[in-house]
Parts: sequence; structure tokens; C-alpha cells
Amino acid sequence: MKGFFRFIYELIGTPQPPSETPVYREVIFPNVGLLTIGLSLAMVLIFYYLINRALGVATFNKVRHWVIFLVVNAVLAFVIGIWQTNAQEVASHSYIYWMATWNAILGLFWFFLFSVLLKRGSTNASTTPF
Amino acid sequence: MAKLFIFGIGGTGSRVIRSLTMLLASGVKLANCDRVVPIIIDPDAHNGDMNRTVDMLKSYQQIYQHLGPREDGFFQTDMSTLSSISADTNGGVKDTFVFDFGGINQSFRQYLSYDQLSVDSKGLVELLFTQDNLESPLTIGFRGSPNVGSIVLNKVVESPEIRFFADNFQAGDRVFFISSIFGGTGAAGFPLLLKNLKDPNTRLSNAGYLRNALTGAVTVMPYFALQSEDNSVIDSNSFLTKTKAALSYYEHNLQGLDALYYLADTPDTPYENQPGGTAQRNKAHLIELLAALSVVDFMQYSDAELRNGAPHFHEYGLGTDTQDLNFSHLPDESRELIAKHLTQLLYFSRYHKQHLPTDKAPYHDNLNLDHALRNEPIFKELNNFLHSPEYGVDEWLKELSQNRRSFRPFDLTTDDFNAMIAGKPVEKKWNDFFNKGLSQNYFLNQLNDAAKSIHEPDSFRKLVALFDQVTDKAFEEKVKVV
Repeated sequence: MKGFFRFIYELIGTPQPPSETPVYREVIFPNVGLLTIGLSLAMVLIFYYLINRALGVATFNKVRHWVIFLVVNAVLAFVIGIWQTNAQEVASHSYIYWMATWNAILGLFWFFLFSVLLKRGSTNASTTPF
Repeated sequence: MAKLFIFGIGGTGSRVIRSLTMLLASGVKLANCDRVVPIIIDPDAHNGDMNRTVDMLKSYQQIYQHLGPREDGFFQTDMSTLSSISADTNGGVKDTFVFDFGGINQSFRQYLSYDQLSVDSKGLVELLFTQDNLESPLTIGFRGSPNVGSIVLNKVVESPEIRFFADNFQAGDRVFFISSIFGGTGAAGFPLLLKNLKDPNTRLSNAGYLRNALTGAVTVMPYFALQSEDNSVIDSNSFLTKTKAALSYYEHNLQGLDALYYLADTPDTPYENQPGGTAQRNKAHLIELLAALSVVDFMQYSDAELRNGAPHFHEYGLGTDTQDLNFSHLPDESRELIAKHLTQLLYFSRYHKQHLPTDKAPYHDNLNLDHALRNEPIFKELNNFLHSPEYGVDEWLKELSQNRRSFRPFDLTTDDFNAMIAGKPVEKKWNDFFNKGLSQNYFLNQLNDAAKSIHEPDSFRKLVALFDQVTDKAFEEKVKVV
């Protein structure tokens, strides 16, 4: 698990400053990774299964509505990145913002992936985004 | 496979068959038969009422043929042309809902070969027929003259169509006649056809089956008046006199009927006086809808019930005598028979027009409607059946609401599904934020849901099944009773 998150978060380079690398690898990457995956899954479930199935809302199923959720998910993923680094009190560095931005992009990816996997179970958005 | 042969005679026959077709399209069931064979008998080949009924029947037939037999739902009853009941037509019977008079392109005088008659025969003809009768062109029918009709319609009995009908008549088949009693074609044609079909000495095949066939009829007594015009051949002031004369004939000369339905109404606003032709295109009237219900009622009786104590006579009374009727003014039995089905048909038609072309939803993608609505002929045919300004469902409902008496069960001016049933708005719960009654959202949600559960590869069949299921649920959940 830690290896997996270390791999995907270090695709943008090793954590900075180097002295904080162990904290990032042992705590922040797994926390941020799991929270972002959980967030994306929750957002997908809300969009496809709560709004577009359980609540019977049939007019909030267009691509533009899906994009709203996608963007909100990315913003929240960015916030999670900042929040977790602050919670671990790592040394201030521009890397934090790069990592948070990368996490937002990963949030886009997870949201898209879960959408493709789970959309069929939705009543009103089973063909969203395509 | 029992059949019901319906002879729709004259303009009233066409108009009642129009209403019957609407009822069958809405899902009203005809018991004890698998197939309806309407045969319109009207020598007026350009009659506006007849032609739009025929166009509608063709449209219904195409839709039914694509949908195939089903237990219930829209367009569940097979309506076929006479020639389609058997492959062996000998080439003499055209594939049409209309009896082929072959174009009677002459006056009644010429038809009788009057000039070649003996002096005595001419004297008899002049006793029975007026000069106007003799000079009238038969191309527009009998213009309210049953004495003319009874001569010309004898041709029907010897026609290839009637022989084909008799050849293919089977035990268990039923016959129903629709006619008016105060005009020309119907008043003459009904007793004449009945007499010939039940004649013990008939030369038609399957005479035994024909004689024993359960036979019903609805005879429509005056329910409209015509504008008075000095030079018009039809005077509606004579309708009652003609009715009385015909009734006194019927009293002793209708043999072989098992059920006879009488309908009449007090005329209100007079129709434009058109003796025939394309201009004779009257607005749909409640009486025609009730006459169509007599067919449904007749078919609900079992063989034993009809034979026991026949003939049975029926009349119809409204629940409330008013000029503007909605469902609440109908007797319970009629209301239960048609209210739900007509409401479903209205919802189908309105949604089809207002939202279907522009919906962006999974059910729409699933049925590939963007392509189908534009390109597939059967989808265009459904569009015609529902929305044609000539014969469509919308037009029929509009005409019923505009006539006198008016039958106005729906508010046709509103786009709000919650307010469409007159006097019975759908209740919306104030404390339930998501319950907007019959909103577009409701229909979309139900359509998307139903599209997942109905496994039908053909997109047209699936579309009709979807709307049947969804409108049924909408009525049961949101309207409940009317």
C-alpha cells in the first residue's frame, strides 16, 4: 500500500525538503491517497446513486452536472493535500502546493475511473459522461 | 382465433370507428376476440369523415403490425383489413378498410336505367323517389335518402367483398353494425345487410355460421342538427320523422340481432350543412365515443349471455345531464372503462410531443431516439397517429372538447401534467421537497428506470412498452382515481 502511494506521488519527484521525505512516504502519501480515493468514490456514489437514483432526480444528469462534481472533487483533493501536510507539521515548501495540485489531478483520475465503473448502476445518469 | 367484423355504414359509421380506434389505441380491451375487421361502407368515396378514418386505421394497422400481439397496453388489438384475414383473395378484394363501390359515377336515374323502363315502372319509380332523388349524383352517397340507399346498397351483398367475408367467416366470429338511423346510407344499409347475412336462403358460403353468429348493432338516432339552407338537399328538421319511420320498420324487420344499442342526443349548435364529399368532415362527438363503447360492451358478454333472452336492447344515460362533460359526469362503468386508458394516451401523446424529441437521458440513448425519430418510418407513423392535424389523437380530443355536447375530460391548453385531468389536479405534498407530482422529472426518472427493466431489442416496441408502463404507473401513483 505504502509502496503504491509512494510510487504515484513521487511521479512528480521526491518530496521536498529531503529531510521530510520519511514523513511524506510513511504518513502523508498513504493518508492523502486513501482520503482522495475515498472522497472520489463518495462523490461518484452521491452523483450516480444518491441524486440520480435514490432521490429520483432526473434532470441533474448532464455532462455539465458531472463536470461540476469532477471539479469539486479536484478542489477537495487539493484541500486534502494541504490539510494533511499541515496536520503533520512538515517544513513549509512550495512542494506542498505541487503535491496538492498533483493530488487534485489524481482526484480527477479517480473520479473518472469510478464513474466509468459505477455509472451503469445509476438510473438517470447511466450514460453520463458518455 | 375469433374475429369481430364491424360494418361501419355511412358517415356515422366512419366516425364511430374513429372513436373505437382511439379507444383501442389507448389500451381498452375488446374481450372475446383476437382481431377486429372494420369494413366501412360508404359510396361517397371522397367523404371527409371516411377518408380520415381510413388514414387513421392504416396508421394503427402499421403500428400494430410492428408491435405484434401483446396481452395489454397501447395498440394491443389487431385491426386488419378484410383482405388480410386470408391469403386467398382471388384478386377481387382490395387491401383496404373501405368497401369498394368501384366509383358509382352516375346519377340515381342512370343507375336505375330509368329511361329504358316501361311506363308502369317509371310510374312506380316516380311514386317512390322524388325528382331530386333521381337526379342526385351517387358519387356523394345518398344524401339522407334511405330509399335511394336501399336500392344501391343491394350491390354490396353480391360483391366480391361480401363473398370473401362469408368465405372466411368462422364459428365464433361476431358481427357488429354501426349506423345512424336518420341519414341515408346507414339507415338503408344496416337492415339490408343484416337481412341478407341472416337470410336462410342466402347463396353466401358459411351460411350456417353467419346465421348463428352473435350479432350486435348500434343505431345512432339524431344527435346533431344541420344549418338550414333553402337549397340544401338535407333538412335536419326531417331527422326525427325519418327516425320514427325507420324505428317502426326496425320493430318488425330486424331478425337475427342479439343486441341492439340505441343512442341519441338533443342537438345543440348545428353543423355546417354538407351533404357529402370532402367537406363532410364533422368534429368528433361524444355520441360517437359512446357508440364505440357499445362495441366494447357487446364484446364483454359471453356467448351464453347474449343468446339467453336475445335480442337485448340497450340505451345509455349520462351520470349527470350537462353540456360540458368530464369523466365525473360519466356513469361509473364507463368511467372505469375509459378514464385510465384515455389519460394514459393523453400523457403519452403530450410527452411525445413536448419532451421526447429534446430529452437527453439514458432511455433516449438506449433507444437511439435521436436517429429513430428522424429516420425510421414507424416512428414517423406513431407521430402521425398521435399528432396528425387530420386524424391524430390530439385533434380527436380537441374536437370532442369543442363539440356540443362537449366531452372535455382534459385541459388541453396546459403543459402541466398535474393539471391535465379536468377537475382532478394531481396533489403535490407541500412537505415533500422532491415530490413535484407529475413533472417532467418524474416521467424521465420512470422512463430511465423502466428502460433498464424492459428487455426488448426492438426500439419501437420498447418505446411503446416504456410509455405504457410509465403512464400506467403515473396514473396509479399520482392520479389514482378520477
